[in-house]
Amino acid sequence: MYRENAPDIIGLDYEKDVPVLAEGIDFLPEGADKIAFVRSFILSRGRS
Amino acid sequence: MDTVFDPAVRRAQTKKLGDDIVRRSPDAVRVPVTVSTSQWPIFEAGYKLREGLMNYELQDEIIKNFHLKFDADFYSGYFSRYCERVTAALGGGGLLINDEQDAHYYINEPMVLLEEIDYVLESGLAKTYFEKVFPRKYQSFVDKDDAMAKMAEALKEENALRSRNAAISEYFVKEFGVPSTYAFAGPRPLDDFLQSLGMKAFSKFLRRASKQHFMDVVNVWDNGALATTIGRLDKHVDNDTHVFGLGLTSTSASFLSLKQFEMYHWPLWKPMLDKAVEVGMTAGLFLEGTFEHFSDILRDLPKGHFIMTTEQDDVARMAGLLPNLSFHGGFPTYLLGHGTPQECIDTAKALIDACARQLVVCSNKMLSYPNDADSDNLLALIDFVKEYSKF
Repeated sequence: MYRENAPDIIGLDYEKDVPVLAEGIDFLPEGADKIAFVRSFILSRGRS
Repeated sequence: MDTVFDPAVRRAQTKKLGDDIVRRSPDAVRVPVTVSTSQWPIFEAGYKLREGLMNYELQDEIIKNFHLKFDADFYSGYFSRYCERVTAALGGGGLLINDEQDAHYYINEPMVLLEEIDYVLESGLAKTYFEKVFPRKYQSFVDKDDAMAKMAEALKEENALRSRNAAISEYFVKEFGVPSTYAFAGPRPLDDFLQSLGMKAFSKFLRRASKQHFMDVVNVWDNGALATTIGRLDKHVDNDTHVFGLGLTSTSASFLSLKQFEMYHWPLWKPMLDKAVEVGMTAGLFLEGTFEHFSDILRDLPKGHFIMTTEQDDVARMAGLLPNLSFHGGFPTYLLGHGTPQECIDTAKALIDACARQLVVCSNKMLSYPNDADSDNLLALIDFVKEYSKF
């Protein structure tokens, strides 16, 4: 059973934190849309 | 003189095998036979689940040897659905592997609460998943810094997973001459909505929400995917890297009454099906469980475009009820696991005799657990279908 207040405990902020995660990516080809990759990851792993 | 194997020739032949069945071509040569598996090849090769799911090199070795041994016409996938290394990088969550029981099961808890529906409508899917679902699902997140560090690692694993999946599909296409089943998959907004809310809350919301409100929420889970799929269908160029064009799957249909299916589910699929017909594509449709009660709706689909993956339904019966459609499945999995080779052959013969021109033979459930199939039975089935079903 998940923690009741998990979202509040962790306090993730989509608008602030996604660009930070994208900035840390060093494995995509030059010119790749890193924000789109992070977003795609979120949609995939949030779904299943 | 032995003929040199040419993967391009095989690929074209396999494409035509499947295509001819869906399009009901008088040129069809025989009934194709496919294998639908999730993790059974791991057990068949003698490995435990965790070692198979966490090692991409081993996965590749297993699935390549699987094809060399069984030589089916094409396959449901090559372990591509398994993201255990990604979820392990996130600290675990979503899936539990039990090697003692050779099983795995998904943690089935609601990730979005019913009282958060308004939040979903305001914020959209990505923000909801990131801020609400991730902390609930990935329970090892200690605090924000920990969550960010784990997600940074998981992003690398996500890239490795996608790269591996692309590479193994390409290998099968180029080296084995085995096309993928579908060119691409369509969206599943109802399924994703159901999984996020859980069955209880989904059923409650379905009963209480107005039609418009329900569809507004489903539209959030669609996230633009329907429009993107229609666009892809418009631009799609058919080739022999895949057997069928679009793949649509639904587990949520099994929770819906006929009226609910007509109201909420069919309007999500119909635009894609109409577009597939308009551009001359084929599409595979899977409605989990049984779909006989949807026959009056499915009967209106035109001939020559659609193949239904079957699970509980009797394929021979459905072929008669829905003469415009073809069917992928029909072979009882329990026989593969607990029957004899001769019983498998006798059942395959009856299936082929009943509806060969509308049929792609496959087990009616994915082969997942060690006892789901006996290797000799599967070999007997595949070899028999290839030989007996020639038109």
